[in-house]
Amino acid sequence: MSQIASSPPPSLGVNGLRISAGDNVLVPGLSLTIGRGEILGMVGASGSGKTISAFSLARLLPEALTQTGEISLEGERIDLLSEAQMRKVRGGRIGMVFQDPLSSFNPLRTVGSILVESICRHQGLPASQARELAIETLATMRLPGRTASVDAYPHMLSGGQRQRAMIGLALVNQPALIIADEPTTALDPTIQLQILALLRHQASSAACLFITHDIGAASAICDRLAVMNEGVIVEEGPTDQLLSSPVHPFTRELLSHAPGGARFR
Amino acid sequence: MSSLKRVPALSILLAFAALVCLVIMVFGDALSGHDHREMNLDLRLAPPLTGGHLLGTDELGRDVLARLLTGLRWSVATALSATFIAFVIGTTFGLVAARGQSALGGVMRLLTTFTQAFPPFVLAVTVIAVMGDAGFFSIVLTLGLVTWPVFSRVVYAEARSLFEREHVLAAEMTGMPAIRLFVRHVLPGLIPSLSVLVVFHFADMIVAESALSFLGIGAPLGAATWGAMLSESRGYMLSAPWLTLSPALAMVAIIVCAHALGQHLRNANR
Repeated sequence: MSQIASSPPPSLGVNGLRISAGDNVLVPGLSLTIGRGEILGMVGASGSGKTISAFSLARLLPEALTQTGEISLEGERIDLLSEAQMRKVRGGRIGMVFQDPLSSFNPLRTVGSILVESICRHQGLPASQARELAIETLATMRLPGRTASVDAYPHMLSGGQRQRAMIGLALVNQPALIIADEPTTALDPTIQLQILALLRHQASSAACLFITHDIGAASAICDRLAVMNEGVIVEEGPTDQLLSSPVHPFTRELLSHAPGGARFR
Repeated sequence: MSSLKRVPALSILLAFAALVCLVIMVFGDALSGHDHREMNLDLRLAPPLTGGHLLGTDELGRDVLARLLTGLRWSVATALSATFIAFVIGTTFGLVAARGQSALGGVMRLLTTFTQAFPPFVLAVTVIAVMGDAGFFSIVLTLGLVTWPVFSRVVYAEARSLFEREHVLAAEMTGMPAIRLFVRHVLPGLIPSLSVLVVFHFADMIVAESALSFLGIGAPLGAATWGAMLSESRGYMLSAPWLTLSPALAMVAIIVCAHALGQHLRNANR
């Protein structure tokens, strides 16, 4: 477990999270905490259970998978909530950034309309005010042209712009937890840096779970790292410590394969 | 916009065909100058272009063109209504089955399989027998009830993959309720394949309705439908071939048009 004594009370607490597909256990028992303003990087190879763990936090697993275990968000057990209550949590108190910003926006709807709908649902604002907030949010995400971005269809934006809009969507209702699932994997290296900086800057008031297989990207913005292998966190600790003196053999192997090591730091 | 220039000739042709169809539907046998029920026993089996009968007369001296035009009305109306019923049932079942881990989804999948496993004509004849007399509603309902699995299969498969799309997941991640998720994110994605399917299904329904009418279990006795016309002309196939050819060619024409439209939509959606 992490030894950061000064960390604030956890925004996210997970205890004994178990995910299985029938008899096949994918994640045997995951426990972690993330404090307010903290970014926890979950690194591991593809198929190590990072993404399904993340989706299970919002209780959005594919129907073939079942999950058990405690999940508490700001002290409230969200694993006990009904589906209707959970819908208020999703998008409201948990925001999510997906891997591919092109496929995660509906191509038939404008970026703004998706934001506006989310704002109206969770903040109960009238449409005109929600639109103002959407414009403001996208401007904060440094998207060009105040109204141009709001009325743009996803294909009209560049990859980096789309991902920034996605981050805007994740943050617009000021969630307690942001889950970023490989948010930079589909982007080129220069844009990756911008996105990471934006995420680091914007996520300051929320807990952030940053999932990646790119240990370089993780080291650039994460306060702590958790290394996952076959559904189990094999090593966890402050980023610098984990990078400079990895203990577990899998962590060492992961680090030895990282291009340029911790190039972002 | 310059897009008007790029409308393909086929689109214009198909639009024209649809317009002709519509005009015939509205005016019916009035366009032929004869009543389709009017018999003239002095002028039985008259070949085309005799006595003011463009396509000749049948064994009771009724104008073939008038019957053909009236038959189109019946064919299109039954095919459209049957397609609509099949579409509504099939799409609903497909969507629910695609979504549901619930027992409801399982039941719907099972129903689809059972319905499709039955030979459609046996099923149709059974349903009509159960419903009693032949008529517009019984035939439309029968065709709809027998053929909806076509839609539910396609919708099920497509919706399954749509539900796994990231943007649907992303929308769900914003807390969107299931119904809204269907309407805003899944249904629009189904439109391309559904539009093609509707058109092809319409063509199939024209054939199916004619087949039932041919067997005498579709339209009410004596009604001017293409299936009935074909059935009645069997005895005169060699002596008065226009009786067989007229409804047959009309059917071919409308089915070719429907298929061309379907193909066209499919290409346009690529």
